[in-house]
Amino acid sequence: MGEGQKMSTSHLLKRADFIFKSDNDWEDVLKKNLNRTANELINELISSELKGRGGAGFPTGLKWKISSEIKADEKFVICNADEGEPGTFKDREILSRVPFKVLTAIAVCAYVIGAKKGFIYLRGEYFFLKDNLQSAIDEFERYCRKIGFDFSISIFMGSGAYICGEETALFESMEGKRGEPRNKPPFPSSSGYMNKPTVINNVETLAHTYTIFKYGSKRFYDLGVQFSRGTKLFSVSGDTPKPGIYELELGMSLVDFVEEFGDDDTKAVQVGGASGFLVPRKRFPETTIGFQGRLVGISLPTGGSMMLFNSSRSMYNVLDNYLNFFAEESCGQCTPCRVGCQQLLKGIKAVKRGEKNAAYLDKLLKLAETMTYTAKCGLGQSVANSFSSIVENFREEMIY
Amino acid sequence: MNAIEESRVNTTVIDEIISRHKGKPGELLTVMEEIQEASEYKFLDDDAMEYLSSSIKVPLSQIYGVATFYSFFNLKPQGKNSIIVCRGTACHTKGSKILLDDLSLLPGCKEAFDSGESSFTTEDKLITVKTVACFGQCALAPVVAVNGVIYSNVTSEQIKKLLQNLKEDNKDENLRLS
Amino acid sequence: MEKRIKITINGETKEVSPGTSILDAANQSGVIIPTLCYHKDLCVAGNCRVCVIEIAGQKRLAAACATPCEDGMEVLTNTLKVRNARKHIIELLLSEHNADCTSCYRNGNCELQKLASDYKIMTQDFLDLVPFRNYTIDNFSPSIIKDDSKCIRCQRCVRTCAELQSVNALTMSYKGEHAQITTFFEKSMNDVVCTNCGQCVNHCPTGALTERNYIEDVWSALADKEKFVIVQTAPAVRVGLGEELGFDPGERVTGKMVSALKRLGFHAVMDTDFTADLTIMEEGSELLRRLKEVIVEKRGDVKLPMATSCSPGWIKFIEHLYPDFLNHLSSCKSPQQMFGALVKTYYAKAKKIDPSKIVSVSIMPCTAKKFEAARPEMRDSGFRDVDYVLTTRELAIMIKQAGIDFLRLPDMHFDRLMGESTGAGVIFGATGGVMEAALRTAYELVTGREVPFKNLNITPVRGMEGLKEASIKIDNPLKEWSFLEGVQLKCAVAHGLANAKIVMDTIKKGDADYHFVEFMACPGGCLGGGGQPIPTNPEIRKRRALAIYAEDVGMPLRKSHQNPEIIKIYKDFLGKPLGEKSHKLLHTTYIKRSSF
Repeated sequence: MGEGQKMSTSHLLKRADFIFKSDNDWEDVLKKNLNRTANELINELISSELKGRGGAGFPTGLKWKISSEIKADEKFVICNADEGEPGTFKDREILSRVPFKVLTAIAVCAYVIGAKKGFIYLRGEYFFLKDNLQSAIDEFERYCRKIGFDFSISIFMGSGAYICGEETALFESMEGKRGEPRNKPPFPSSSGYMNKPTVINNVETLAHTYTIFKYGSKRFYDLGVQFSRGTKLFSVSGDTPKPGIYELELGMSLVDFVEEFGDDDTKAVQVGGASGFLVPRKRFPETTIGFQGRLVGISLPTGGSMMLFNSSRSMYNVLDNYLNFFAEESCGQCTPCRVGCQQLLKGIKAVKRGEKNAAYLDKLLKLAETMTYTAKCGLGQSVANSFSSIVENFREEMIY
Repeated sequence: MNAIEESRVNTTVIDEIISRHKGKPGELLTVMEEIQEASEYKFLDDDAMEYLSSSIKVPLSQIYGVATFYSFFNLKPQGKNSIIVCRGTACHTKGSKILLDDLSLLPGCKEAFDSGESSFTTEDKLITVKTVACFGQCALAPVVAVNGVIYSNVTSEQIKKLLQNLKEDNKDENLRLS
Repeated sequence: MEKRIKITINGETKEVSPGTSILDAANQSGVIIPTLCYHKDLCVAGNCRVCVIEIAGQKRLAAACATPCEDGMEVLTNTLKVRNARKHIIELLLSEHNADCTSCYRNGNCELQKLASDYKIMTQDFLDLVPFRNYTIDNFSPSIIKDDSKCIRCQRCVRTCAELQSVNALTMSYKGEHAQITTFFEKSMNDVVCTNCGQCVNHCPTGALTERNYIEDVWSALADKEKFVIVQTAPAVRVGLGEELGFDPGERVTGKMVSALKRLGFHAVMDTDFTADLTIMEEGSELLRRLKEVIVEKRGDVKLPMATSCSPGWIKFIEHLYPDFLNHLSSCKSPQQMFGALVKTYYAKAKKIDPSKIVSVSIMPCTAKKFEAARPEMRDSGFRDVDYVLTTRELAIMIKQAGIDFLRLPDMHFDRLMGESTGAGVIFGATGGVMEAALRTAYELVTGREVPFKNLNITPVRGMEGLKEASIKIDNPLKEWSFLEGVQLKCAVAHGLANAKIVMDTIKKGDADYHFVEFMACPGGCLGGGGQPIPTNPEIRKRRALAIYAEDVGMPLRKSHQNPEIIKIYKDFLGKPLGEKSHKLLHTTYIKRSSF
């Protein structure tokens, strides 16, 4: 940790304005970048240190690189717009306000890896975005044809399943099947949609690549802190006087965040949606929002959902809501997630009703750990996060 | 039930939908959605699924597995009007449960939800009440969609008024939350 | 040289080829990793998570079945973390499982129960989730009972029904806490495309899918002084039964089985192999007749290839999924049903027993036979031809219940009149066996000479290849068959309904130039039947097949037409193959069924 202590670990809340800036220069950005070599573009991304903004935080440049190096007759780029995490609504805003940035990024990615076909997997609940997005695609494709770039993009509408935000479940869904996550390996970069090399990126990640391709990697890299470079969109909701979407530099402290967005009565913040962690007030100072690296204190990766709770809220009710959600929305194929969620949900109810003693919560905490270690997919591995963090910090609310 | 029996999607419509999507990726889900859309009561009946299965050579059990997996597919006839309440955390925190309780005053509704059903349709097929995991409109919680239009910061009074309007007259302008 | 990669398992270095799963690598090194959703017959699902192991440097545990070895990987299979996680997973599975073991049909042979025992799950900490569910038991099928309260959602049955059988009667439906294995709209197994093959039963790790058992009915019949209870045993039973009663797979227990049946109190113990030989006479004659009708008479209404009709799972499959091709099926009943029809006519007459007093029981490696026996067409004797069908497993249960020390039983012979058989009848139990038996007889009938294969072993149709082909050129036929001069008789063998589907699709397209095709519903043929001992897997099927062919070689007679009891029944009762009596008792018709 010695090295880390010398570095600045967090900074005051800094707003940024890249993603929603309406700069209407996508045609230039596209043309300019299609004239660069794939390697240049990959290196640009790698040196920006952009990490996936869907929540998992895989380095985006590396993802593109792997797919670009695999030989295949067909490759795909998929924009993951299955934004289903409760408390997250940034992708909806991006697609409705700056669709061309995302389309440009998809096209550049396709150029880098050698794909001719891109998809936007749009969450079914966002049906109202579809028509405008389709007209944007039509215009975009016209331009591609004009500049002689052979590429097309289709919208694929989801049919209402949270789990399809998981990339391999999303592929299954696109292939007309139940959205049940696959075993990894193989990873999508080598075997994704239709078992072809596929780059799948979150909407926001792609929007950031636009920033990087437009301004260069340095501009992006200089924002944020070590291991967590650049900016990020945050969906702020709950007990806040100003709910909405904000672009902020990564690495901010939760104290500063609550200072800005809280209602002076903030009791806890759920970071990262239902599958994220609850941070109680006493731990705000030691918590920074970014990707896990050797930062001091707790660093939380996040898909961007920040839900504030004030002292009028029962954390038991919040947890009950999360667990109900997961018990329903787990795909149900693997044991730890399918049965574990039911046990956690029914377990806290049983404790609340006095049918199980308080020590049963400790058994459930151990179970939560097992769920994290053993579930088949990334979502299954994170369903118990909210349980653990709420029970550890608000145990008394679970019991009384 | 007879009206529903008669309203089943006819096979020429299904053929047309299939031919429009033939060979496209994820054909099955898209086709199923459109067949459901084409049905008067917005649901997938067993005949339609059987016909689809034999037309596109996808096992019927697989179609059923898919239909039950995704929340968009209905296996029962739906009401003329749909009211969807978001039960995401933000909406839940901001009182979506109260809105759902208001709707549960519809005869039979409470019983249906208590027995684990995820949707309820009134006997006269006028209203279907459903919940959704999250609309992604958390900044505007609580959120309710009525006939596909999303309304924010919905109050109990609005819901009660809507129910009354639905019962008393069916004029379109009164079927909104405002 | 193939590239090899090095991994360590619990500290011991091991070289494996790339792509090897951690589970296989561990097994090769003598390290046992428990599994549940894994089955050697099926693709890897990685669902149950029982096989989780630790990989050095990774925080999360990995499923050994679904994770390929990587060079330099350090695998740990027995750490505290692994044991705790595994125990949790077993406890979770038990919490959604109706763990009323003492009243479960699979008590004593349940994979979940074994895991619970191995890991000594002494108390159930977690809440019992079963009461929260509205579980149903589907017991409408004459073959299979589906009890959802025992299901642990491993999806082995779903994969079996799809991958091995291409039937797709079962699916995973709903999601999350509601996820369950169902048919279309949760209909009964009896009302869907299910072929009753029982492969799902054989692949189910728990008691969620079991055969409908008729053990008590048979005990009652045996106790009824008024009744004369006759039993027939299918060829594959004798190479499987031993596994349930203390023998290793591949042990032939024919003589002990006969002794055991006698001790159970059956009045006559006879052999389905006898009617297997009879099937060859009828089916072989039918094939030759069809060849004549097509080649000489140029009849367009007669179809080739002719398909065998011994396997009731296959019959229901073609009735459901290829209803326009039923005229390819041989009209011969299966050996079980030929036997049933003859027991209450020929045998009853010869032994002067009132057929209404006869209870006809069959021991089959098969669950589809239960359905077959219940088909309304199967009453040509004037009674239900076969009253009760028991699987190999059910027979083993009766033997145990009767307190018979199977290992120490003397060998005994089948009773006469319908108990004599040849090696040709025995090999009906293996894939390719019907074809081989038919060729041994048909070739000789046509040419007057033995089939041109060393020791009568027609090896091209043997083995576990999913699709097998063979052709025999007919030279110098007897005068009656001169139209076959120079004809290449082309045959194919398919086992497992997924392979049957491949052949049927070729026939449908008009691309198949076969004359004769053997279809068996189950992988490996009857020896891998849905009613055989659990587990059945590729290795065990191979061993049972070896036993079948060893039994064949050991028989004094190896061609159906040499069976003296066959010669006798044609002389005393049937007249000739395809004759009037045969037509009435030994042949049947088929029904078009819905493809759902």
